[in-house]
Amino acid sequence: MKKTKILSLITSFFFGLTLLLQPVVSFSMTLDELIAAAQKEGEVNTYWHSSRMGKKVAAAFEAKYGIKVNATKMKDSEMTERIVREVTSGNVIVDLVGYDDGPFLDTVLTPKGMVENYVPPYLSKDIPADSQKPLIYLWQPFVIGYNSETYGDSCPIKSLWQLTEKDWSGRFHMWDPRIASSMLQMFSAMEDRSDELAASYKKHYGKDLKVSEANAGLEFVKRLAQNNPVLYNEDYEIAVAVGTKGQSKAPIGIYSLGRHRENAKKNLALALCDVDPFKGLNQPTYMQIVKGAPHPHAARLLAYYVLTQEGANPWVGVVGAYSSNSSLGSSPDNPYPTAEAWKGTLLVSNNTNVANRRSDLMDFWIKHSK
Amino acid sequence: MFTSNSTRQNSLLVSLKIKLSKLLLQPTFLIGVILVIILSYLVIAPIVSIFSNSVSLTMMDAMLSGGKDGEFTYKYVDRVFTSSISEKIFWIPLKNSLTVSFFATLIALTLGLILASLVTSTNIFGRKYLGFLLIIPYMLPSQAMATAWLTMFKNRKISGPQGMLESFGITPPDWLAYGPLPISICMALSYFPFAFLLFSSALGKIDIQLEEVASTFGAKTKAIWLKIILPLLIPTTMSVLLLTVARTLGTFATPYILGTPAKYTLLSTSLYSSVRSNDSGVVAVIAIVLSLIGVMLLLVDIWVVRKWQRFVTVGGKGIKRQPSKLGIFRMPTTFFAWVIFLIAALGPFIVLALSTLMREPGNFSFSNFGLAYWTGVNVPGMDQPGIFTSPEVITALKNSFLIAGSASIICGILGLLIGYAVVRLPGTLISSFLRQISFLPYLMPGLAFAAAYLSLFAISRGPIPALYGSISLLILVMVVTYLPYASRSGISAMMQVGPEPEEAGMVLGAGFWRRIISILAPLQKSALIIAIILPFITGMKELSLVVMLVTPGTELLTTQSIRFLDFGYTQLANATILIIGVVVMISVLILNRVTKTNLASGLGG
Repeated sequence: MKKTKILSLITSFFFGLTLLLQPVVSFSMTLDELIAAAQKEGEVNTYWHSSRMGKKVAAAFEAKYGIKVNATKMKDSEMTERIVREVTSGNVIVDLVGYDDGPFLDTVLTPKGMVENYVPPYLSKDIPADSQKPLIYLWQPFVIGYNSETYGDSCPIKSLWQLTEKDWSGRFHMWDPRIASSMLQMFSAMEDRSDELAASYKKHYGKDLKVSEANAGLEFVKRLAQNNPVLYNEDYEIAVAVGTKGQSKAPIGIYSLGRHRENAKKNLALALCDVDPFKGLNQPTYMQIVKGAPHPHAARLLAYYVLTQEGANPWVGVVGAYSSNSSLGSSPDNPYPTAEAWKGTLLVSNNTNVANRRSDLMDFWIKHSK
Repeated sequence: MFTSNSTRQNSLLVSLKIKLSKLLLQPTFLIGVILVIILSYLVIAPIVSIFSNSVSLTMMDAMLSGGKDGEFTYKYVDRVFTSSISEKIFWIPLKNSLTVSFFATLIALTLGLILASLVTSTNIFGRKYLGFLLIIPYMLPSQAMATAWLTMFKNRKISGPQGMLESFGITPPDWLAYGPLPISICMALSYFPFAFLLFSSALGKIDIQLEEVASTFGAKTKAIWLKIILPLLIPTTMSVLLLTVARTLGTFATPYILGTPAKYTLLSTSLYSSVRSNDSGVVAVIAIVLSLIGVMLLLVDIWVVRKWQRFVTVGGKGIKRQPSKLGIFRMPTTFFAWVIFLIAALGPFIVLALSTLMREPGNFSFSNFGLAYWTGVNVPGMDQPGIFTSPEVITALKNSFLIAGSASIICGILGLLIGYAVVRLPGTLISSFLRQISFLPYLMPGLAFAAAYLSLFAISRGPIPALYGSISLLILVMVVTYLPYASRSGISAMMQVGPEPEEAGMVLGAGFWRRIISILAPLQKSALIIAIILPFITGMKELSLVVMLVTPGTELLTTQSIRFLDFGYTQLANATILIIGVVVMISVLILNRVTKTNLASGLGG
């Protein structure tokens, strides 16, 4: 009895101490206090990897809390540039970012203190520890997809290596690696899993892969680059190119699985390729508060909100994304109920490896692309 | 001088009084000094900054690879000229740029010369209207032609709605849809009016007596043209050649829209890729190369003009060349001229407009037409409202007016002020410095200049805050880029007003501002209007200058149309371009009405 009293006294002492130490933004605010502080700020600015922040979340958030969300969809290279420029110039506009470039986050933004990692304390028990530092809010599979109207129930390729064949020259559609870091993350992950790529080659062609580069992953990247893939800035366009009906030689593409939700609405025929050895890339998206954010509380509240069922719903309510909040479900339209259930079929990059290799991989890609 | 008629004593007194008041009351000198300071910062600082950027380690690279931010490095120079990727990011784009420029210039020059000869010197049908109509392509933003081409010839190689031809069952081959051929043609069709204007005015200046003498001696029309007129057009031809090459090298929209699908990269698009991948050292190096090419072309042009000046014949004023009778060629040539108008001016308009009115391309049934892309709340097939219901477009429209509007007003006033300082401080260092420096931006392609501005204003320096992401940066860069035109017209307008009216006002006790408002402003009214509307028109259709500087919230109509294209929302892009076209046309008409001249000839932008 006495012990617990003392304990609670000590706790509240430290609680008070932390409050004193962090007069501006307190991590230990109750949710109600956070809401009140956020509402005082009135608005929050975001740069987001997905347009759903602006199109769906913003309205719901404003309706619920009366706080306006200014959301801009942005590719990560541009976002990187913005964050660095804003923080170094001291003219910070953005509060919260939904950011795909984990390698840059881990090696530059976090160590330089340009962003602040905020895990909403009200939810932290539901978020796996390895997704907390830095905070991953969403996993999105980027998948190899094909046109099911043209090719029926099965993907026209069985092995990724077929994408490097002449038959698919100019018929593989993907992001421009110069703009989307996801592609560099994928290349790096391919290097990490070179053995599986080599094995897949052997399995498909019945002979050993002749590797003239450092590893089979790099060999694949080279051959892919030489095979004249069509590059885009936006994955929406890739999905439309692949899935538009009425094509006799529809291309194959890599795009976010979430595009499959638009099959009915946009009259597309997108389907997932069951291809060996990888079906695509599992892309984590990080959520960070920018240092010196003008609306720090509103940013925290929004970060909390998109990790709740209601706020995450625009992503997890449809096919193609998994929240890092393990208590939230995912859409039954997904081929697998959780990100883990894809097992090894999705590439996951290692941020340190990507950071070490990215500029070489980029130059390697530019050098070999036609 | 004003005092020359007065008595000796009076004149001494008055001139003393004037000198004193000039020193004390007349801020001409002060204005000159202030202008020198402002322009040095706005024109020279960006150039210095881009040179220094090309050899200093960027913050990004310093962060990624260790090393110190800003330390000296040849890394980027190497990367552009000698590294393993130099071929991809520089040499091939350079070769492609030169190829495309060559063909585009050749076509533009030929079209311009033929059409100018037909319109100025023959009895072709409708020559009165053609003189104006053939200039329309020049008023359209450069992406109009390219998107119209794409709307027409696009095939399934890239994403987005079907091309018009394809929806009729004809699949255009890749070489016709994308790459060097369409880029050259579209650029030629955008830039031939420039050649047309220069040739028309040159033809108008050739002394008619030369031709009369020749024909008196019995020379046939053909001989007159071959032996007299065409040789006299050589300097103009050289000018057209060099200036068109310079323009095509700096064009961004056409190669971006038509080259990217075929991975046909030009220097301008390679520069843009480097901007998008945060490779700012490489951006600086390529921008310098582009500027150097620009400077070189201009120097050659100046040299050519000077060399040929002694052959220029003056005279024959007021006597217009009798239009020669074309005989049986009258119909074919008329047909030719009108077809060019149709393809280059009316065609893009029709294609763009049609594409925004049809839900599905190529389906001409009545039910397929509608205003969904203009006023729809949720456009079918896109997660996107129509043009007039989309907040992005409304913002872009406001921004375009705000930015081009304020830039042109500032530019016009600044131009006159420069003119004032240059003319009223003759022989001083200030005068010649202002004259030179206000011309300097003319040498740099818009993309290169924007890159310089990006590097200069990305962070705060001294009292100047980081302007990146603000409307003021866009206004500023436009002001400076259009300054050569404004200051040139300002100087020439001020030349025509002697100091006498002002001195008279001074004697009567009018202060400096009073003189400006009551004497100079009324005299320079029409010069000011021209100096404002011309930059406004150019600003409304500006893309390459602003495409790297816009940020979310500061998008202009032109950049918004590129965003739409990036998303494959071709129809929305086309609608946006149409709005620009209409605004520009209206501005031109107002200009014509106000100044009662054919101002198409002043469209230098």
